[in-house]
Formats: sequence, structure tokens, C-alpha cells
Amino acid sequence: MSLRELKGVLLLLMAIGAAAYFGGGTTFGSFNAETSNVGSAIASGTLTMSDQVNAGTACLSAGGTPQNNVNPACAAVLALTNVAPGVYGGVAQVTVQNTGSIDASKLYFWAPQVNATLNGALTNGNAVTALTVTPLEGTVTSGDALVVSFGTQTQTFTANAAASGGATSISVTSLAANFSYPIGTSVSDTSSDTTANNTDCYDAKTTTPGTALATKGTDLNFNPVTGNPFCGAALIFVQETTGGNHYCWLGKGSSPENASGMCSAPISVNLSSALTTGGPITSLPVTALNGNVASGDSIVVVSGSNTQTFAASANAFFGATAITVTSATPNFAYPTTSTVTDSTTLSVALNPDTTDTITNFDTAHNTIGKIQLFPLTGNGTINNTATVELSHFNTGTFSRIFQIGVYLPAPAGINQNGLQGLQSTFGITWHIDQ
Amino acid sequence: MSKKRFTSKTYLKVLIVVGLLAVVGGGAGTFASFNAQTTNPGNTFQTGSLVLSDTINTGSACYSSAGSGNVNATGCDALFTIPQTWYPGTSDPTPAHLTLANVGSINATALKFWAPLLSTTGSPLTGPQVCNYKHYTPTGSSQPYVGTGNPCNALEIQIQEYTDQNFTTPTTSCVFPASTTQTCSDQGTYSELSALPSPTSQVTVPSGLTAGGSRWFEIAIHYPGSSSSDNEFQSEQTFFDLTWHIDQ
Repeated sequence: MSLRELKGVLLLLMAIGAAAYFGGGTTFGSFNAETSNVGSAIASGTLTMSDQVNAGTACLSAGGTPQNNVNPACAAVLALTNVAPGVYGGVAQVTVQNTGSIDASKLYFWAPQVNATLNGALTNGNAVTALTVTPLEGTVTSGDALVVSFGTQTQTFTANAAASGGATSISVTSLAANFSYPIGTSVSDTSSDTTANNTDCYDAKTTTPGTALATKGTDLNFNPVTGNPFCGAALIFVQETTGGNHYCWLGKGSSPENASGMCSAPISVNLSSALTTGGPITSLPVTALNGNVASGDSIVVVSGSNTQTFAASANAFFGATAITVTSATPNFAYPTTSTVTDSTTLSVALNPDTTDTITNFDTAHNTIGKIQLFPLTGNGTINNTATVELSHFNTGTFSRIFQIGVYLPAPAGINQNGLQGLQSTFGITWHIDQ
Repeated sequence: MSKKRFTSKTYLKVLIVVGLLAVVGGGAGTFASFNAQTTNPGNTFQTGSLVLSDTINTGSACYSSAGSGNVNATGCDALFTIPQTWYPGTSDPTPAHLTLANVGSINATALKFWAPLLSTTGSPLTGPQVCNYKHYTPTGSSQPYVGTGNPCNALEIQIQEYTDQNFTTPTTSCVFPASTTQTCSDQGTYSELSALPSPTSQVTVPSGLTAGGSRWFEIAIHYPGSSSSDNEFQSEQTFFDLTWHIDQ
């Protein structure tokens, strides 16, 4: 091959090389195309809840100090004083709301375990022999497991001495902290809520009188708190009133479920307008009911020494402003200050009741016996196959409303002096799952 | 193009993926990925108290709560300790002034009284009585006269309520013997001690006793006397108790 021919071959090879370089395809195709999807992102939703007592400030699950979407320190539902047996106790409304963006498939409530929050921080690596806590809700027994939780951190300590309800320190078997748990960290006794002696509900003698200068619990020698007798006598009920439907979830009327969805919830209201003696009436105008009236119940109107019993002829639920009664003429011009009570609820339904107590709520419906709150479909009816029990914020049923009340029964023929001057303290937990 | 074959490695990969999916996505409700929780702790429910205090004249108050189970059966002062020099013709003993107060925080809707049944050693009476007596030897007497009459059927009692702690204005009724329209004085009658209400026939004094409130009672003993039968009550010591009770 001549030099000239060699140069030609080399030039051809260079041209092929250049074509191969700029073409880039593995097959050396002449035509090709390509796209790229950049910036893809996955954003998780939120599942948070709020819990509002009456018209108070909503308490957020995400607002709790433990930073784990568990807020152990929302407002108390009830703070009742100077209660007497057989007399209307009190009721409060709790609104539970899904404030997140994801539906909750499950909504529960239950009795919390004996609990508190740390009132003294723990230091990672340091030996812990006592937990300094906010006043302990319930009684700790030696040997109980105490779970300390903050964010994703958790550690279990073992109590090595008993601690009474209200105590602010729990002695534990020495153990090095596995994290620096700050003040506000939640503390739960996972061994609790098994008997009347170790429930979240605990009794103490009152240290302030029910009225100024009157005798208080610590003045008395006949009101021992051993075994939490007041927790064991006081009755509790939880009735849902979402969307005008009613369902008794806890208390007298829940097992079996009352056909109308009403708990045996006592009332104590006033007339909203005066009665006259001029002729028969078929309805009692009352301030918004703070309980329920069942058809057939005896409704007692009292003003001073004047009293009259009417017969309810229809059900009336929480919030109703009239009670339908069998026609009767008032025997007195009852003024608006007259009190209106349902004696049937008190004397027939509740006074003999020894089942629906706070103690039994704590032992039967703790973290093991959670009460699942299926959506309501009517009075006394639920949909227990629903896939959503609390819709995400601003859609469907994202709020549910509950009436929570307590009552101290007055069983016939039983001296209850032992319950004078006592205070029961207890809690309620609300929980949603994705 | 050759058909791909599922090797055992491929099967294992599939099983791992399925397992991961089951852990992450399955078990909803039991192992929910997201959850939220609030607790309302510190709900409190306090009972009030119902305690009765009992003061005789200017003595110290006696409290029901000082006794067992809020019943103070023995610790309160006596209404009277009438000297043995009392005899027919002398003045009646000075009436006792009783102040009852509800020092609890709950209103009492009922105020009741009665005389407990007494068994007095040496009493000629058979069985416990609301009033009882026994024979005794008066101081300085070596040969007492032993009366044979029942003083519980002779001595009389009257209970008048007052509207004020100074016992100046009686109410318009008489507690015992009961009258709703006349004071005891206007009514002008007493009742024998033996007619005091028993534990099974308790007398309810209307209007109860409000929390923090007081009521005032004057209790008077009277011996009407009878020239023909006075001797039968010589050397006799008479006993009666009064119990005061409030109910919520």
C-alpha cells in the first residue's frame, strides 16, 4: 500500500471513530430519543388529634412535651366539689377531632394506667434510683414496671417501694438512664389497673372544705382511703352525641346498649319559663338538659316546699330544652328558679348500680380493654365495619362529641359516711390509629 | 430472546418483598404506622361533709365526727345535772340551752331527735326505756326512804326552739310536745319523760339544718308535784338521753 493509500484508510477510520463518539448509542442507531423525570418527592401526611373540654382550648396530641404525638397532660374533664350521695354530680363535654390529613381507621378511649410526667430530668448514663414526678395519678406497688417515654426513646424502670396516689417521687431499682429524658417525659406504670388498689383512679382525703370553714376530709376519722372506696362507688358514663345521634359507650345503658342510645345520665336543670296553675300542660320548658330523660320517667319539679311529679311521655336527650309530659295541671306557679330532676334515673337506675364504677372502668377498660368508637348511624346504632372512624381534618366526620359524667349513688339503707370528705382523681385517654 | 426461568434465588427475593410489605402495610389497627393520643388526667370528684356539733349552754362543742362512724354516742355534755336537793315545791331546774350546728359542707334536709333506750342497773323498770331510774342513798342519809313511784311518769319535759343564739325570741312552734302553731309556753303543756320519742318513733324537726347553719333549743324539765303522791318519788335518780341526728 502506498503512503497515499494508507492516508486514505486512516482518514476513513477517523471518520468512523468520530461518528461513533458523537452517536453514543450502543447500537449506533441514527435516530434516538430520551426523557428524564427529575425532582420526584414523597410527602407523608399527618395523623394528629385534638381533645377539647367544653369550650376550653383544644389540646393537641402533637403538643405534648414527650414529642411522640402522645399528649399526657390535656385539661381535666371534671372538677366537682362538695358532692353528696344521690345528688346530681356533673357532666362535661369532650370534642375529639382529627386534626391531621390522614383518616383514622380506629378511634378508642380507655382508662390510662397509673401515670405522671417527669418533674426532674434524667441524664444519659447516670444511675437513677428515684423518679421525680408530677403528683402521681394512682398507686404504684413495689415491683411495678415504670415505662418512661420521650420521642422514640423509652426505658423501663422497676419500682422498689410503694408510692401512693399524689406522691411526687417513685423509688426505683438503680439503673443508668439510656437517654437524657427531660422534664415532661411521660411515666406509666404498666403493671397497674388490675385491682381496685392500683387503678389510675385513687382516693385521698380532701384538704379543703366543700364550703368555707366547714369540716374537710382530713378532719374526719371515719373515711379511710384504703382500697379507693370512692372510686369504687362513684359511677361514670360516656355518651356520644355526635351529629344529634346518641350512643352510650360506657356506664348504665351501655351493656346491653340502650335502644335509644342513652346512658342513665341524671339531670338537674331549672325551668326556663314559669308554670302557671291555669290549666294542664304537656311540656316542661327547661334549660338545656345535662342528662337524659326516658319516656315514662318521673320528673320532679321543686320550689321551696312545693313539689310536683310529672310523667315523661317521650325521650329527651342531652341539650333538649323541653320535656314532654303526660297532661297535668301544675299545683303551684313554679318559678324559673324551680329545680327539675328525674327521680327514676336516680332511684331506679343509678342508686342500686354497683357495676358502672370508675374502678371497674379502670380495670376492665384499660390499655387491654380499649373501647372502640365505631361511627354512629343512629340512636343506639353503629357501623362496626366502617373503615374510617374519624375522618381527616375538614372532611366527613372529623369531630366527635362525648358527654362524660359522674354520679355518687345513694343505695337504699346503706350508710355512706365513709365516703365523706374524699376526692377521687382519674383520667381518660383518647387514641386514633391510621 | 430466551424465556427467563424462576430460580430459587428469585423466589427468595419475592418472599422477602412480600414479607416487607406485610410488615409495613399490613396489620392495620394492630400495628398502625401513625397514631395519636391525648389523655385528660386529673379529673377530680370530691364529696362534701355532714358533721353535727352540739353545745350545751356555754360549754365546749361536741362533734359527731369525734365518735365512731360520725356517731358520737357518749362524748357530749349532759343537759342537766340536777342536784339531789330538788324536791317538790322548789323551782324547776334552769333550762338547758342546746346549740346544734351543721359544721359540714352539705345541707341536712332532716333534723331528728329521739331518746335512746336505757338499761339502768337496779332499775325497777323492766327492759330498756327512753327514761329510766334507780333508787339511791342521798348524801348524809343513813336510812333512805325508797320511793315506789316511777318518776319517768311524773317528771315532764318541754323543748322550745329559739330564733337566735341568745335565746331571746322563741319560734312560733313547740318542738316537744309538738305544736306547729303555738310556742311551748303558749301551749302550756309538757310531756312526761316516758313519752319521749324512742329510736323507732323519731321526731323530725322541720326545715333540716343548712351547711354552716345553727339552730337553738331550750330544754326544760318540770315537776308538777302532787301532794298525795310526792313521797313515792323520794330517793330516786332519773335518767334520760337525747340524741340529735341530721340526714343529708
